[in-house]
Amino acid sequence: MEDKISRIKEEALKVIKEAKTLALLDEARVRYLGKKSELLEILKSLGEISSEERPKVGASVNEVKQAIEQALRNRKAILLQADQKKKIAAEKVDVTLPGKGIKRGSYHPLTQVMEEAKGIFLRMGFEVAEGPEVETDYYNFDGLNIPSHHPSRDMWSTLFISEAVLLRTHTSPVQIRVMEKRKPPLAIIAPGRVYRRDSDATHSPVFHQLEGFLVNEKVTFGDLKGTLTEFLRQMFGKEKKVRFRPSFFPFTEPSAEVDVECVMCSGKGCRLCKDTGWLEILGSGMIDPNVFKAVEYDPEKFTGYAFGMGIDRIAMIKYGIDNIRLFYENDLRFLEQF
Amino acid sequence: MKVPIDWLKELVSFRAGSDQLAQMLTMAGLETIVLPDDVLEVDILPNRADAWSMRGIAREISAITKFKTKSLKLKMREASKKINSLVKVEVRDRDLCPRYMARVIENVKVGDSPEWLKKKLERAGIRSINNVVDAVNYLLHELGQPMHAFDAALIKDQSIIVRRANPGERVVTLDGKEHILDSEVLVIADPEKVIAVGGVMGCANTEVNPSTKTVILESAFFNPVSIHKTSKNLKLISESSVRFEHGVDWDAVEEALDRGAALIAELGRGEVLKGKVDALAKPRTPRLVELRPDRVIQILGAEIPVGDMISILKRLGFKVKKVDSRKLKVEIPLFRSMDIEREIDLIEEIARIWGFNRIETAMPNTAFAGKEVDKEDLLHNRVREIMVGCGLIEIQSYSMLGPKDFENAGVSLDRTIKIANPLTVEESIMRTHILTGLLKTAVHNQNRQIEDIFIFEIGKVFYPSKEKLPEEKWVLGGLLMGSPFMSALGKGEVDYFYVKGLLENLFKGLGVELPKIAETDNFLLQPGKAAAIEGIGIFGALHPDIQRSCELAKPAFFFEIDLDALFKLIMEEKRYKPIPIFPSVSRDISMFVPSDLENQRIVEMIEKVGGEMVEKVYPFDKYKDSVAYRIVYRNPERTLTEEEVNSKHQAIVQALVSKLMVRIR
Repeated sequence: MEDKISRIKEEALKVIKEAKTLALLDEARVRYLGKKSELLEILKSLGEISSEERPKVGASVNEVKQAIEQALRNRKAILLQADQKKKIAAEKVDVTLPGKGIKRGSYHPLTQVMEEAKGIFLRMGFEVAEGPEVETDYYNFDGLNIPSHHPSRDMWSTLFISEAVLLRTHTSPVQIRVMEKRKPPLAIIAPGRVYRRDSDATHSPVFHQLEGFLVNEKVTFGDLKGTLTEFLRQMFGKEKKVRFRPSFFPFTEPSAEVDVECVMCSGKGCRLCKDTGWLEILGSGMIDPNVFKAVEYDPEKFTGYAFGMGIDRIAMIKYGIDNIRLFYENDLRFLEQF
Repeated sequence: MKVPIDWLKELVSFRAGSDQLAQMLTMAGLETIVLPDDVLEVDILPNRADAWSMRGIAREISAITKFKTKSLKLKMREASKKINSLVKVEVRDRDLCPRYMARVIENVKVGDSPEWLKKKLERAGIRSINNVVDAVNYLLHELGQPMHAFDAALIKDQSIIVRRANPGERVVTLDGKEHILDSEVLVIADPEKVIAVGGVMGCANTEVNPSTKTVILESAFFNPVSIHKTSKNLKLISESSVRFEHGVDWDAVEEALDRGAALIAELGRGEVLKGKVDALAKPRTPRLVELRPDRVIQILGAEIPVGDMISILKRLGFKVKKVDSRKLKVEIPLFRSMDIEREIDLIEEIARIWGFNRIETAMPNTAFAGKEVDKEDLLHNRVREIMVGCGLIEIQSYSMLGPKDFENAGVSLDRTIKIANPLTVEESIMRTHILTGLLKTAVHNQNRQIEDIFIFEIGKVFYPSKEKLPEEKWVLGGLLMGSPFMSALGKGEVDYFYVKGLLENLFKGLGVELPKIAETDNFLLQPGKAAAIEGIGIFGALHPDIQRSCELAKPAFFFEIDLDALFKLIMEEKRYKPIPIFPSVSRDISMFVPSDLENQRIVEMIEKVGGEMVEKVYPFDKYKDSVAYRIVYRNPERTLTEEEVNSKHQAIVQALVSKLMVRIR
């Protein structure tokens, strides 16, 4: 009997060891441990064995059974591993081939700069307002203290639809439209398209401005300086110097042009800044009392500042673009870079 | 204007170098750069006509540096012969010419200017013509006063009449151009003819020439608004007209005349006749403006001492009287009468001379209640994000186009907004469809060997309206052509369903249910592949005619969405729906459908018959006319029984067969 058991063990272990597939291994399991296996037969016939030998035989059958089970487990693990290996090998890809899926689109560079600028002011507490692109001469000029037949109107080369209707030359009309409807305090930015009768490497008949204004009691020129300095630092970098220079706009007084230290030469002087070391970025000033009168605000009670910037110009400076036309030509090889 | 340093030193003493001077002027509002050869280029702001001369710049330097200006010496020797024997002046329209002065210089030899003058003018950027013209230009540069020299012999009876032009009166100006005038125009005339468009340009008929012996020199103050109108209407801009329209110095009218006459006499070895014509409407007196030092501090946010305010104003040539500690009375010199009228004008003067950069920065309070959110702006950004995520590149095209672009896109030119004075015809009509710019962009790129074009634009379109201003509408447009895949290994090109899927993504992304889609016959789209999104827009294959007229190599797909209409759908607030806790049951139907039966009708029929029990229905397999639909049944309150699903499903099948004529497979 003992011989028989050890023969079964030997045979089983050999078969298991040589099983090449999981299926063969399962066959082996059925053959040596299944209901019709020799081992089970032996266990079933234990009753026929003498009571002295019975525990011994039982013990060796159990031992062999465990050994076979163990062998099955080990073999199974090995076969599983081999199987997986094969599968992995079969699934190998060329990792350097291009990716799948659709291309991602991109935002127009002018949108990106506009949103960046808007974001800075929104975080400061300004709100967004908009106005029409085709405007009346009242909102574009008269309301902003630019009377007709005044040379200051010639500061803007205007595209007209009719005598009194035009393509707005700046986003400033939004100031008047908002102030007509609402009372201070107001902290507004007005982004949008504007139009001029100009066309060369740095002027486009269509371009974009971001206007801003703040009206409240006791707003000062110092506040204007603080707001715009903070804006320019966030836009161009903390280390950049900023300067305010007297200028003239009919709708602000005092008026200031705001320059930032040249981004290319850091103020040493170069082609971009025409050797001045400074880049003109913004027009600004304290809102003229005549503008307040046009919207029936009391200039003794309220003061305010206003500013406007060309988004195209800022984008040109930021990305090193030397021709404004590139923005509107929409060559995809250009747009994809942003 | 060009400012030679040596000339400047005749008018003000200063010890600054060119660079320092340029820096100081720039920071006081006169943007200045240094040119080679000790010349400055100073940019004069439009409101600062007073600074537009050598003396004006000198005054600024004096105010900034505290160095004194030098007064000009006049070397005038008048002859004993009196002027009124030789010239008569009659000003008929004093509103357009409040002051007209003249002097006469006799026995003048017209010829070249001496070298010193030629050189001086050249350094200031002025070309030498002859000694008389050079003298006039010299004074223009020195004092900012334009003058005009006539040949007295060519003026009939030496009689000058300053009057409005007769309607239809013709005149040929010095530049050889003929103008037809109206009564808005002020002319200088003799009893027979016009000899100058007043303050704008003289005429050849009385021009100083080599044989001129007697010169009548005119110096006047013309009404700025009138000059501006005339110059605009006649499209005639001269050195003289730009000065007069900005306003000249009332006092310098006489000073320039005297200095000019003396200079012409000196250069032409002639004699200035005794006396001068001064046709003066009414003498001008300086204006008084009140200034509150507290207000200065309040506007600027800078604690400028009152003493400094007074000192700055005095240096600028203002007379200041202190009424009390809260009020100053400031007398405005006539040379600043054009730009200083109000307290705020004085505050600006104090600020710019004090120095903008000395005013401390502060941060305003912007944290106040009552602000509004521009939700449309937020929507546009959200739409943009989704479009970019769906693989489209944003473009920005001009809002105005040419007739050719409209024609190429098959868009009518009726009901368009046209620009009266366009730069070019290609930029003369406001767009009515966003497609035009997209097409232009597609063509531009295709011509540069770019085959896959996936672009969108968010912008305004414009239509005439009954109101004063046109109607403006925010629109989203997209154009898709070629393969959307990252690599050429990805197979397949954009088709109708690709575009539809993209729009479904857009609506899903915005949290808006896709409105009803129906076939449409929009002229921009190919019939049969053209869909309308109810009340919102259109999409589909671009009409083959348009594809051909634009010479697009591949079929293009297009969509246009009215963002203002879309915005209205978004206003509704979102409400949460509980997640179902009871299981659903799915049943499929495979059938042959008639060729003209739309999916939408099948779905509607199933939903109608199925009622509330049908949670979802969708096609999941389609080959030719054989389509399979899956119906998902659910009751949110309990588990459905096999029997009720079966009977409902059976009812649906029967309805499809009997009402829509499908054949069950």
